[in-house]
Amino acid sequence: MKLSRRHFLAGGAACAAIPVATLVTAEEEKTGKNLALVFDQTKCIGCEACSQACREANNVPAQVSRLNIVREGPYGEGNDKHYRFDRQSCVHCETAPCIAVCPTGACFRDEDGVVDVTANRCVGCQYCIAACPYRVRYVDPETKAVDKCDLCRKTRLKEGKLPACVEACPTQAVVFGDLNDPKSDVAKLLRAKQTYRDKVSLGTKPKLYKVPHGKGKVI
Amino acid sequence: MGVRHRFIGEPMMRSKFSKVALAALMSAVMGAPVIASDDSACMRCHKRNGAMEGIHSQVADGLSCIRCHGDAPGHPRNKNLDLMYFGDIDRNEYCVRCHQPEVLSEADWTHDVHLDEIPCSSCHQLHPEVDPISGIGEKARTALCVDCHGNMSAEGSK
Repeated sequence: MKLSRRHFLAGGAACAAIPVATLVTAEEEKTGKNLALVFDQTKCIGCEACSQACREANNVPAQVSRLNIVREGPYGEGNDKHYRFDRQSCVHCETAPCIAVCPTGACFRDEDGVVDVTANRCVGCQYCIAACPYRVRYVDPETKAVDKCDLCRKTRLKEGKLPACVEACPTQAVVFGDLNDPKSDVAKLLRAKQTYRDKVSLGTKPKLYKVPHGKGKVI
Repeated sequence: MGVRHRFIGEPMMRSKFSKVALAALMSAVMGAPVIASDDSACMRCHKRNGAMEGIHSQVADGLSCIRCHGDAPGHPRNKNLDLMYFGDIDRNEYCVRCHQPEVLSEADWTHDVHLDEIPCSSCHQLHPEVDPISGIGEKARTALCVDCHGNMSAEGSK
């Protein structure tokens, strides 16, 4: 059989692609969990129990906050009068700009997909604050290091508890879980409901999914 | 009478009448008809919770009992006849006569979403000197939200 130049090159390319593909899957298997949050705007009542619980659980100083509930409204008239609530907190990007710009390696992603800061490595240059498109980072007035939501990994997660905001919510508007586990609450919810994420076009691959408020909005 | 909503810091209202109160009641029943515009007639029976000590006692010339609670010629002889009780949602319209919804909305956004849902008296009390909800801290306020909405969420509504 005569091997044409065309076939030879095609075969070579295919052989080269196989090891790369195996490498990628091997890396994905190594990372066990990919923790994420779903915030259901149709369930949130704006009571701010989440942000208060967060402050308490993580000892967040009064001047700053890791989690804000942003209220918009009122919309509608009479019986239809309603408000919209949105959650503002770290979205734990899969390609996080804060990690990319950090000159000291203080910003990192842990093996469960949580973006966090090692306080004693942070020099306070605030590049990450400038780089974060979600504007959720702050300088801790006590440690002078940058801090933000860590999904309670340093406090509650290691005790086997849910993040404070998830547990405090009276209407179960915040759901937490592992995206890699098809049986997790998060995965089930994402299959059942239509969700969106903020600023996906920036390529940050955020992991704070939001179930949109049902009543719509004219932008 | 509809579902009775829980009040914050509600005083005990169903305690036994003392003998004195009973005597006053008897005299009210037997004697001349109750002159409703005179609060002292009401206070002869409603000693315990009748006194209006809150800011509403200073409105204009002072709100008489009947201004809010209404008058019923058969009261208290006719036991089936209730004066206006503010634990019902349809009583909100009486509050809104003076308290414009727009002003309430500015004072606190939660008025907007609760005005047609729960009686004002679920959170507010006019009789005590200070309305128990005024000046409650941020956490106590959130605890109230969580208390009701947590139960509702467990039952399947929002």
